[in-house]
This record gives sequence, structure tokens and C-alpha cells, in this order.
Amino acid sequence: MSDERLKNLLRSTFPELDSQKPSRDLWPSIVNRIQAPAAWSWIDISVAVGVGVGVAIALVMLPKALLLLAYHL
Amino acid sequence: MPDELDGELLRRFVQGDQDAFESLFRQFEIEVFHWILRIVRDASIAEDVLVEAFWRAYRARARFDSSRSFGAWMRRIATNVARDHLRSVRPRAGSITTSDHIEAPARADRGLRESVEFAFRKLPPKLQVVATLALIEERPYAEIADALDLPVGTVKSRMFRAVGALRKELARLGIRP
Repeated sequence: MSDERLKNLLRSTFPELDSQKPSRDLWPSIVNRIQAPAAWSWIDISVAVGVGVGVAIALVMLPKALLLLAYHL
Repeated sequence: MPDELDGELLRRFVQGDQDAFESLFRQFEIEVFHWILRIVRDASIAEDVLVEAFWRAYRARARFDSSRSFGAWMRRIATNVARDHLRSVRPRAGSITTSDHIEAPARADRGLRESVEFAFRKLPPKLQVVATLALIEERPYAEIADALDLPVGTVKSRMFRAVGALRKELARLGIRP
């Protein structure tokens, strides 16, 4: 298949779209997106849970560390 | 793209001024929309991609160098978002088979277009973007390279791979000149 034939085949499959415009004003959607509170990702949640569990285990195993923690808080 | 921009406007945008951002959005909206549309080929999807692209631009505003082209930067972000979309909708192998070829002439043309579209959509997104812009939209390699933040040589090499993969898939679907 020649390059020209391939191009023609693709152009007839995917017609020109440059005359299209957005169907509505998209600015309000962008503003909503900007103002939406940042969502927590699974990574954020996993890290927070991991740190919490780690601190809890450390405190159970080393209760004296609670005094150290309290001192630093 | 309308890129004769007031440096003050760009500085305000970088500082997070939403009025400045809206002004930039109004100036670039149609150009960026057309750029995205060229890649995703669907107006409604292009609208969603446009919103996501401008939102990402706003989030990344601190990294924008206001002495450079806002249009080129925006086009780069829009290309990345459009490519992410293509990744999410890439068809799986086997959804169209050679038995889909149609005997009647009127349906043959439709079948041919469907097969070509399927073969095209099966390309990896990074090849699909290059092939869309170079083969269908006939954009210059330098412009594509700028939008993808790649060297021109890499764009040419992706183009070569895209054409090869497309020919192979079309042959598998029974389409030959």
C-alpha cells in the first residue's frame, strides 16, 4: 500500500473537523474544577493509614516512646 | 495561535490571577479545542479534554515561563491530556475480525472505513497521536515535535513505526490496495 493510498484511506475515514466549536461556554466548568477541593488519592490514603498504623504499633511496643512523642508535640 | 500576548497578563496568570487566566482561556479556547479535536475526533470528548487541559495548566502555572509561548505550552498540555484519553479507550484486539468484510458495495465502503478506524485506534496512543497529526491533519513535523516535547527525529521514527503497524493491521484485516 503506497503512502498516498494510506493517507487517502485515513482522510476518508476521519473527515475534517475544523469547523466545529464547543457546544457551550466551558469556562464555568474550568472554574468549578479549580474550586473543587482536592480529592484524596488511594496513594494519599494508603500513606496516611500506613503512618497511623506504624505509630500505633510503635507506641504499643515501646510505651515509653509516648513520653518522647509528647515532649516533641 | 494568537500568541502576541501581554507579558503582564502572563505574569498575572503565573501568580494565580483568575481574571488573567480567563482572558487567556478566551483567547486560546478555540485553537486548543481544534488541536484536541484533531487527536480525539469527537467534539464532546474534546470539550472534556479541553476543561482538563486548562485545569492542569492552571495547576502548573508556577512552572510556566512567561517569556515563552503560552500557546505552545497549552498545546503541549492538551496533547498529553488527549493522549491519556486515547490510552483509556484503546480497543482490544479481536473486536473486529476479517469476517466483518461486507459483500455488497454500499456496505463495503462502510466496512472499509470501520476497519481502517479500528486499525488506527489499535495503534499505541503515542503512535496514534503522531499519525493523526502528520498523516490526517498534515501538520509539520516541527509543530508535532513541539506539541509532544520531543525531537523531530523521534517524531519521524514514531511516524515510520505507525505507518508500518497500520499497514500490518490493515493487511491482517484483508485491506490491500
